Amino acid sequence: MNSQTALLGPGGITFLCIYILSLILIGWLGKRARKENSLSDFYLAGRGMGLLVLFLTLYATQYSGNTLVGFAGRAYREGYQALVLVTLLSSAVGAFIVYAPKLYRLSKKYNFITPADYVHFRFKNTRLTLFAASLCLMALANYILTNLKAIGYIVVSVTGGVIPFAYGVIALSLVMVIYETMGGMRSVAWTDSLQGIILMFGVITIFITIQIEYGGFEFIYNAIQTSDPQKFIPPNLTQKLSWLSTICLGFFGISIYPHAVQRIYSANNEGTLKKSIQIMAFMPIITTLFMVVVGLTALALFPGLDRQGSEGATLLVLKDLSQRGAIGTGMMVLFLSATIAAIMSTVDSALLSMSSIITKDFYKRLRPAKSQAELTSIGKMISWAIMAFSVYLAIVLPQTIWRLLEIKLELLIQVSPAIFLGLYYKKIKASSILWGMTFGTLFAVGTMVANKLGVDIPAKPWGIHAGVWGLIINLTIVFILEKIKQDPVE
Amino acid sequence: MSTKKSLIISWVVLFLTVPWWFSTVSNKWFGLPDWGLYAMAAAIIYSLVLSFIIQKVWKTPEDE
Repeated sequence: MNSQTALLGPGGITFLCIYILSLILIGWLGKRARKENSLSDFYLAGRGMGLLVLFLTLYATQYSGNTLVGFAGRAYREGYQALVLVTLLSSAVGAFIVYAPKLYRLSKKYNFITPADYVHFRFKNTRLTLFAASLCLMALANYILTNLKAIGYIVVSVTGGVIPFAYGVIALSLVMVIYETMGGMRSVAWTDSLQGIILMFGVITIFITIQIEYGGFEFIYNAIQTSDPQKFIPPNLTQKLSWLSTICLGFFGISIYPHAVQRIYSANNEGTLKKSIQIMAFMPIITTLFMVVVGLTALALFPGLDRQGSEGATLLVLKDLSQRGAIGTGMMVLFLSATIAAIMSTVDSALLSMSSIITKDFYKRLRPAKSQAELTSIGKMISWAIMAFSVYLAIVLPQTIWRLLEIKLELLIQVSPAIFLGLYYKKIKASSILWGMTFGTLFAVGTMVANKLGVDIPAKPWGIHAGVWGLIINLTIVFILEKIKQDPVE
Repeated sequence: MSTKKSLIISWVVLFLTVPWWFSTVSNKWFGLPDWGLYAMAAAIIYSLVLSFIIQKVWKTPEDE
């Protein structure tokens, strides 16, 4: 092993391997707890999740590896403006309040499995249902691919390259798909619970250590004042609009990620769901805010890093703490476990969600006579196929294509009118929602793709994300079509 | 407090989490630039408002 560059020694790596393999054991326990061979049992844990598991799986799923690595890097580059990330995650909880109570009651009554089940129940329009399901699939696929790539890089960093990128991606994907197909949502939620605990403990521990060792905000302020005083300038109007636009992405996009919606369906009762969401309201403070502080600390300690260097901000702080003797190997193992846990809990949830959408929203329409047991088996095979294809793409896809995969929330946000307006406006028509969704998606994707391919079109005109402009167009079309349809009656 | 009213309050608070009022280079407050402290405090207040609304407005069968 290249001990000069490896983040962990043989002992630490052995601990990590034991932890990862223990997830398969949890998956097997999830399989043993199965009550029936049905889609509801496999994809929603029989709608029987209690408070602790529901909260932890919501938490672990919402906070990905990007929170631990990407957010600190962004705080390094943007300084205090990265505080928008705290509100980004909070706004998703704000959106749950709007739709979760009504959607939960309907899901219980009409046995919804996927978000598109609600869209079909509400609008009874197959084209709209399939379009919404397709947008969900695309957002989830991008989510899985970017997280698989991140997991490969972490394995390389942890082992100093002894385990190559491709082998790391294959090995961890194999573990995820094994425990996921054994017990479905039950296994995923149970492993998420363990991962959520490690994630929360890791983030809180590193935050407290930083406060004790360096001196917190005072230290950061004084160091940045010397090295990069530009970071103290408040955002200008365009940046403020961008701040608001980011919040909109959280409210209308992150909140309706299909795996989050399916966790809402999975609660054993409404009281459990309410309490879980209530606790979730505080998680951005003790997770996102803490990681922003880690990024700011890195900026104070190591000014002048380029974009690529800033992505390693968290690891730089950890290494510095280790050299000072403030943390031992145990802390390093804990944080790397937390990072891997955060990524795995997000990928497994997104994988399960994709499998459910393909099985329920697409395959079942083609083969309506298939039994629940047969559909569950098909769903498991689909999980294996998705994971194999995702691993292949994560290893071979060229960098130019990767840039296009950053389009996630811009797509998903176009589905939000179907859910939010559908729940609150009884008279709204399927055709209005479908046209709005179509034009909103075309605008958002067109703008983003053109920008990423080098055409002189900004990805954020006037600071507002293309997806949010798409949503504005989407809602405007819905409003105009509804007005036109109402007028003859009046 | 009605559901509609509480949702509007939560959206107003969410809108106010953006540091709209700050435009010049700032003073230090508790180790943060004033607009940074505002953004952080507003995010914490928004979390508290959400928790309060969930507790007071979301009525479940278990509550009754």
